[in-house]
Amino acid sequence: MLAKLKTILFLSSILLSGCEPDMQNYKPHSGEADFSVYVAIGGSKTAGFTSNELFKSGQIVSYPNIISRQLLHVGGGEFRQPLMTDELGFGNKLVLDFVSDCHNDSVLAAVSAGGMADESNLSNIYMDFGPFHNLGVPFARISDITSRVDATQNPFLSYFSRFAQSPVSSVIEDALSIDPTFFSLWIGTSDLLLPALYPQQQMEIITKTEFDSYFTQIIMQLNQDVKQGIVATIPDITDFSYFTHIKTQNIWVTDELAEGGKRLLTSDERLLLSAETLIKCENAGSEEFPLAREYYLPETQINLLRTRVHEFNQIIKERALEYDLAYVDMYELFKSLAHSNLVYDGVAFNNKYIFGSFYSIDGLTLTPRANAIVANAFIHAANEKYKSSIPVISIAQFQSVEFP
Amino acid sequence: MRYLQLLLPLLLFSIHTLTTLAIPFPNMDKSTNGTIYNISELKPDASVVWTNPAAMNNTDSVFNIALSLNAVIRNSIFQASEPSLYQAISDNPVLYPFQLNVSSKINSSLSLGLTVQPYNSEQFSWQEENWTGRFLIRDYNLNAMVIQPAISYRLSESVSVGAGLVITGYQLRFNRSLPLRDINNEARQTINGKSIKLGLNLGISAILNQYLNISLNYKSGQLIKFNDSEVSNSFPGSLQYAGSETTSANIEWVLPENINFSATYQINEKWVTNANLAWFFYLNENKVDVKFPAISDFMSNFSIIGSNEPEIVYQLGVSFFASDYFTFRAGSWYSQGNTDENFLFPVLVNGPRIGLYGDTSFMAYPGLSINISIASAYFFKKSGTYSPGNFGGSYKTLAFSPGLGINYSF
Repeated sequence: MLAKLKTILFLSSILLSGCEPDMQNYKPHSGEADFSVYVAIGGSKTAGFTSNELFKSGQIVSYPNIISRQLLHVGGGEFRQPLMTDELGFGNKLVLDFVSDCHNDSVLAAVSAGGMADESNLSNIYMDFGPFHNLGVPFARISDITSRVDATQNPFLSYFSRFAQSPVSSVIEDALSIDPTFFSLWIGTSDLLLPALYPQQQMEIITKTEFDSYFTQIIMQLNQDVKQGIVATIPDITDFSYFTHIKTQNIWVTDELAEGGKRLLTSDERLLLSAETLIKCENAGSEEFPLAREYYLPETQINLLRTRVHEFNQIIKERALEYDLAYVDMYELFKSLAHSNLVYDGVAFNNKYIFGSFYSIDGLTLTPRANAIVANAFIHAANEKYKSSIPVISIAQFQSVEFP
Repeated sequence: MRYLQLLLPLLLFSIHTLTTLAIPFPNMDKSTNGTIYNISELKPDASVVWTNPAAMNNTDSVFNIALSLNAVIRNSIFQASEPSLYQAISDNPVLYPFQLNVSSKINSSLSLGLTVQPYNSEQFSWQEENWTGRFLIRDYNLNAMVIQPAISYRLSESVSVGAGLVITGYQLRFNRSLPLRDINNEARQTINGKSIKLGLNLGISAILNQYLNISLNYKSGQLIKFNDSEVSNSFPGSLQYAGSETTSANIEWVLPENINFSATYQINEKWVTNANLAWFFYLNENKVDVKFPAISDFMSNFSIIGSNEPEIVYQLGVSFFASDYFTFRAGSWYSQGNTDENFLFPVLVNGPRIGLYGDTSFMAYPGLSINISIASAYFFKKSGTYSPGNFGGSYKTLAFSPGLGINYSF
């Protein structure tokens, strides 16, 4: 009788259950890791630098902040970022807008967002809002992580001076000062990018030995206090849309080694995005007006950059193995974008300038939606290494380039 | 025999009640000898408007007319693939389909019938603004207007054959988001297509003895082509130069071939039981191809490929003739589903499911009856990925449909 009653109840419940289905969510767990105090160390992408500037809404969707939100499900704690006070940062922000070009055509282009930088963005905010968990510093090189803020020649460390604990502290010291239990480290991109962006400054790309020394030093320091973390490899910067947007066909460039001091660019070489207006409006790139060296990457430099990135990434992988850390292959992720569409949630990502959904309008840093992809890559790597189950984020919930 | 006269129109009503809900419907009593009821999945094809046309000869009434109206309520939940906590619930409009069926005996061997279904619709909608699958689909609506003239011929005392010509007009609207936005809005794309298709509905039924009847029915599938469909794109202002008039879409929407086998057994004067076995198979894939013009360098062409697995639906039912005035029916069905786990597009996912139904007929006046029905379907959790879009997760659906019908026969 009881069995019959149960059957009737079961059937009735199905028949009358209405139309609101539910589904049991899976249970996130931390596995073998302690995510209670997470610290992120890195460069521009870690800081949330995007569209050529560091500004508040860009920082809020930085990949470390996305990760930190997901870590809340597995015991993660507060994650403080050194937020700028406004949407203008230091005044270098780019937006898309219509402008009249040199031919009086109305074209869609990246233009300055305008406005004046708020002076409060230049003040140190550590006392009021610190300590900070996101220690990403725009354009920081690997040597800058261990350098004291007042001892570096890198002008971009002015970003760090905003939120450094003291004028004599370093990024690594500030990171360790908050007693982190888990870290992410994605550094080295600027070591390759800055010499490519500013060839006129004749910056030397650091050697494999130097990179190994700095990287090992950082890992060793972290490892003294924090045993768990993720390191990320460095992308091939020559795949960034800043270097791939302008086609190289029939472009003349100056080259001291070439006959007559000029030559045509080869298809394997790269033009910088900064050459676009010159080519379009000033007949630059013609045989008569070849482009100067500061507007292109010759094959020799590209080869050197690619050799270095492989060497650096080999070091990163070896140290991850040696110090038993999780490891995420950003090189492969970014490379796959360069070769074909990378599809998530029905959206195709590639390295096409503006329309590829991945790179922001500076052509170098990431859109919020790309930050979500990067964050998920970190999360997958952590889950794999530490047998945790940190939930990933829905990529489509983030935005891409904003059109006028 | 009075039961038999009464039941055909009632069943015609019930067919609609349940098929509109995407629920298999039983061949539930003796009056439906040879009738294989639709057990399709809310597909506005031949299977929803008529049963085995051979069955028209299995009633003693000279004339039948049935009108039915239903409410169809259906919702699905989506859970993104682990490890993710993302969930969304579809917000499908309530449908109110209706159907008219008329059949008449010309002589002892020949019957003619007509079914008109002016509004049959399959709708699915994800309304949440940031629904994570919106770049694949936000909502779609496939409306069908179906007219089916049918003929049935009695070959012998125990065997009848029948044929129906299914004329269907289709109207498809498909809406999704595009990964472009301005400060206020995300770009949208809407595709509208129209098509008319013909289909066949063929059947045979046999009375083996006074207790047992069997039947076989074939319904043709349809490859509905919406060629050069109108595509309207609402781009951010700066991208409107791409225009919508030069964007076109070709859509191929596939409805399955269907073969049904049915048996009905009369246990005694009060009880009749029945069983159905239905096989669905697909000869083509679903395709939606949107091609952007060359100037739209910011948008790549968009394609959906849909693949369906063959499907078998099993059904058992029973009817109880309580009195001259009341008849009760109940039953259930099960299907393993037809979805390909690598092409799990975020619309109604026909995974494994079980359904229950019940209905009651009341004869208010000789020949005139009123029918009330209720049905519910439970779609078990189905996990998979739409591989071309790298979009994965699990889906569950609940469906519910009350129905009301009026029938007259003499």
